[in-house]
Order: sequence, then C-alpha cells, then structure tokens
Amino acid sequence: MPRIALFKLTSCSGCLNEALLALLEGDVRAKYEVVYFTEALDVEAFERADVALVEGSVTNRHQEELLKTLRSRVDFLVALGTCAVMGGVQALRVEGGVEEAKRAIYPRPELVEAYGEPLPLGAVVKVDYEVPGCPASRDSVLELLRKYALGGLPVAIYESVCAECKRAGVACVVVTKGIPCLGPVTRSSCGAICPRFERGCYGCYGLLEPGLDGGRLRVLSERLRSMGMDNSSYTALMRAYSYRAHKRLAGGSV
Amino acid sequence: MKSTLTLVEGEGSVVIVERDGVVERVYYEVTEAPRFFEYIARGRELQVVVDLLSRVCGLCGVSYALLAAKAFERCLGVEVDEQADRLREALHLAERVKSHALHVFTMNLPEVAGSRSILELSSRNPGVLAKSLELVGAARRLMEALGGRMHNAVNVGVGGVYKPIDLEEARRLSRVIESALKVAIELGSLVLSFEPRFRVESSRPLLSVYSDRGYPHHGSKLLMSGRAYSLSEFYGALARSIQEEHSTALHYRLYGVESYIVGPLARFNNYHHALRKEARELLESHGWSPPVTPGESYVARVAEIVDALVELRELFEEYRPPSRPRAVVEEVVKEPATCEYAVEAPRGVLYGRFVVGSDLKLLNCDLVTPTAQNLAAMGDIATEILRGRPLSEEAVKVAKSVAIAFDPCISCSVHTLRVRIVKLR
Repeated sequence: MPRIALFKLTSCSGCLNEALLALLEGDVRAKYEVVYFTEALDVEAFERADVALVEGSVTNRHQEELLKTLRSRVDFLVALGTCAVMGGVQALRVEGGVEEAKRAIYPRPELVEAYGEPLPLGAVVKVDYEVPGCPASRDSVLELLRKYALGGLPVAIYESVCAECKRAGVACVVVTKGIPCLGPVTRSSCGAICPRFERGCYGCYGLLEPGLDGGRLRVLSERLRSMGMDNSSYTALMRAYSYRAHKRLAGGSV
Repeated sequence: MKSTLTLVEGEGSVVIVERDGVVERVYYEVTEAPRFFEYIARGRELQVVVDLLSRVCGLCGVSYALLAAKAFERCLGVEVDEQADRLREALHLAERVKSHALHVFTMNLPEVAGSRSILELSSRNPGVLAKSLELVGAARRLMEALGGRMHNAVNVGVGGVYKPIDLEEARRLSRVIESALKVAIELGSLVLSFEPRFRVESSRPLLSVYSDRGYPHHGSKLLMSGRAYSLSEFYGALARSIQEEHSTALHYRLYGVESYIVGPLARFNNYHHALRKEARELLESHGWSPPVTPGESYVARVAEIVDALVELRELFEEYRPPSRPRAVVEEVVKEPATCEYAVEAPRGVLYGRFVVGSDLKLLNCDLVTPTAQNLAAMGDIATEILRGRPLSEEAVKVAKSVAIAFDPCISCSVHTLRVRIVKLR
C-alpha cells in the first residue's frame, strides 16, 4: 500500500483541503496509508513516503532545505496547486520588491526572512508531477491518486480553458459579451468555472505553456486591452497565477 | 520545549516554557512564511483585490472576498440588489458549514475520541466518516452552485454576484439543505455526547460582530461584554498588537494587556438567544446550555452548523432571482475614500480597513484576522491550566488540545501588520 505524505510551504491550505477530501473517498482511503499530514493526522515526525503532495512555493531557506530533504525521502513528488507549480499570488511582491513589502508591514523588517521572489518547487528540486489550480481541485487529485495506485498516471492533456467552454456548451464570453478573458492561454481542468458564471477567466490555473510564446501572449494582451482590460490588472493576473511561465515567456527565469 | 501543532490548519508550534521541570508559560508560535497580502493588494483594481484576498485563507476565502466587496460598496455608495446580496449571504453560510464540519469532524472529533485522525477513527466507526462526508459534500454542492467552487469562489463581485441561480436550482438546493440538516443533527448528537478534553472557566471578554437582526454575520459595529463599539473605536483604540519575546507571531490584546476571544465561542455566548429553534433544541436535548467554556467550543460549532443550515433553508424559501445581479460600479470618488467593515469568518471577527483611490484602485488596506486575535487568549488559557504543573506528555497534550479547540487558522494569522514590539525583560 503506497504511503502518502502531505506538506505545506508558503500557501493557504486550500489545495490541501481539496486533497483531504480526495483522500477521504472510500477507494482512495483503502489504497493509501497517510503517514504525514499535520492538518488531519496527529503525527509530528516524517520518515519516508512513496508519494508526497506539496502545496505552496518556497520563500525562505528553511523551506528550501525542507524540500530538498523531502525529495530525498520520497519516490514521487507532486507539486500541488498554482503556488507549487508557478509561485503563487505571493509573487506580486516582486513589483516593489520584498524589502519594500517587509517595510510596509513590519516595523522591524530585518526580523522577517523572505525571498525576493517565491520559488516554484521545480526551481529547487525535480518535480515528478504537477496538479495545477488555485486551488488544485479534489477531482484532479483523485484522478492522480487512483491512477498512481494502479501503476500509471493521468494522460497529460494540453488544452486551454476554451476547450472546456466548447465541451460544456458555454457561449464564449469574449465573442458574445465582449468580456476580457484569459481562457485562451490558461491551462484547462477547472471546468471553465468563470465563463460559466458569466465572467472572464482570470487565469488561476496558470498559463498553458506548450505552443505559447511571448509573441502570441502579446497579441492576446493587446486584444484584452482593446476590450477594456486594465493593463496593470493584466500584468497582475499574470504574475499572481503564472509567475514562472510568464517570466520565462518574457525571457527570464525563476 | 516545542511541539508541532497537529489537527490545525497551517504551520505552527506550541512552546512550553518550563523552569525546573515545572510549566511556567505556554504560547503558540506561528511558523508560516508571510505572503504580504496587505502590500500585494495595493494599487489593484477592486475586483482583483476581492479575488486576491480570497487566497489569504483556504478555509474561509469567502469571508475575505465578502469583506472586501462589502467594504468597497460602502466606500463607493453602491446599492446591491437584495436578492443578489442574499446569494452572497448564502455562500457565506455554506462556507461556515464547510469550515465547521471539516474542523469538528476531521480535526476535533478524532481528538476528543482519542484517535490520531478521522481515517483512523473511521476504521472503528465507518458510519461517522460517511456522514461527515455527506455533510461536507452538501456544503460543497452549495458552494459550487453559489460560488463556482469550494475554495476561491468566483461569484463574489463588487456590487453583487456575477451569476445568480435560477428558481429551479434554488429548489434543488433546498432539498440538499434539508437532508444536510438531518445529517448535521445526527452527527451533532454524537459530538455533543463527548466530554471536552479540558475544562477551564474563562472570564475573558468575548468579541463578536454586533447584530440587531439575529445571529451575527457581518457589520460595522462590534459587541463585547454587553457594550457596542464602532470598528474604528475598537481597532483604533482598544485592541493593540504586540510581538512577544519568544514568538514572531503577532498577538492582539486589549490595551496591550488583556486577551479576548473571537469565534464561535464568542458568537454563541453573545448571541445564543438569536439561534434558531432547531439549534437550541438539539443542544438542550443533550443537556448543553449557554454559556459554553473554551474547551467546549465544539458545542458552539455544532449549534452554528445547524443554525446556518436552517437559515439557508429560509433564504432559499424566499428567494427570487435578482433583477440586477451586479450593480455596475461607476461612482468615481473625488478623493481617497476610507471604509471599514467586519465579517464573522468561521473563526471569528475578520476586520478590514481599506482606502480606495479616485481611480477606483486600492491605495491601502489593513486586515486583522480572527486567529491573530485569539493567539493571546490561547496562550493565556493554556498557561492558566498548566502553570505550576509538571512538564509531562499529558501537559503537552493539553496544550495541543487548547489549540485544537480554538481551531486556529494559521495561514490567515501570519500576515501581520502594525506591530509594536514590547521587550519583556
């Protein structure tokens, strides 16, 4: 029976709650032994596990060390959710710089240790699988755990939120209502929640990287601007939910 | 000595200060990394702020989104359609059910039943887990219908909701609520039959949102020890944040001295008379009567789950799809407008003060989270129970039980603000 461990770095626990609900499903419960998960299991020490689900990005040295140790003690390491995959909303600190952020909040900023930019897990260790989403959904975690227990993995499907709208029969909010939408460049698997609620996708599953380059992204951003999207909001959404990918497409790296 | 907190949300520890093997003091340390929300929200469009602040907390994101939306509407004088507002209320109540159900049944219940986790407990009693999941599943269904998903709901807009449910869906949800209520009463009965892990009388002031229309959910006034306070009075003059010597976590105390309590315990003890019949009768049938003590907080949570479900039922009975789901925000403020508001998040009073600029972007915000306010009381209560007792495994257990009883939300509490450092020497 695979042993599974769940860890939290810099994040909000939303993905872990979704993962908890996946772990409580009857068939998954019968297939895994949870060995570490402070939120739901009164066990303080971690030795080894076959699978680790890690929520959050790395924002200090302690977390970086923890993640490296973890990597050496698990076979299959999963980046769970947008923070772990891309960096997370905390990446917005890069705009003014973390020192300014510290000064804005703490009277003794020198006591606060925080990296200038949050590191997605992949920038520190090898990641075996990514579950995107802010939050990663229970269903994505379920799919992964069920297939992993069978010795396989979910088939990687690279498509944008547009494909989900089409399949769900949701009329395109851009075309029919003129609402700016990040759906065309955003990774699928949320189920097109925002368009179903008649608002534009704001990209919380992160940029769909394959097939996307800086040029294409610029075309989209210009179109969104022409539809009335505030330029600073566009940049903010990119940084908040796609920090790593956005930076790479702009020619940098995390 | 230091021990990792388990069965709570987020990364924290309990620190027990001992002298010659005897406990002197207990406090709770937050080891979460800061995310600087008050800083990163600055300069953003208001809706971006609403969606961003939802990310402060994986357990109570709706409370944050609602806080920001309501505050902005006040700043800008936006009138929200009554039925649209009702849908946001319903989402907020569904989140309360979700958060309490997860806490009571997956964190608190295993602990009071002497088990290490709900998974372990379920091997002895599979029915409990199945029922708990049914209740959490109902909350999920409600949150998905009203907000789009269980975490980081997308349907809280500045000015209302993006998409209202139709009457048919309201009827379907009423049936979901009806069966959830039955399960909640059944599970509640089980939990109410347990003895608390610790008993301690506390005369600490209890702070909740002030309400003259039933059980408190949100508002612009607070109630503490029978007196009403304005938000600026309370957070401007009474509550002060201090950073203690051993801990990087921020604690709030009245005038920097006395600890106070927020959350289900405070709401329940201040407003139990406003609970609906179903909740009161369930408690009475198990011999519980107000007030409850901190170790018995789960009683307040059970009462709130039942009360919220009955209130949800009422909301849907009278529901008509709104004629204007979301007011368009056009009012441009001539000079920066400051607005404050408070929401009863599952864990207690969540306060926000926002300054909106004339370009309709956020200039500044301050947040005071429920857990940051409870940290001082948690430490004080654990210290009261354990001071003078020998440091033992049992003492550590009690200290951890106090934390679980308060259901701290550590992710929330970490982004601290306006710290005044007091050196204790």
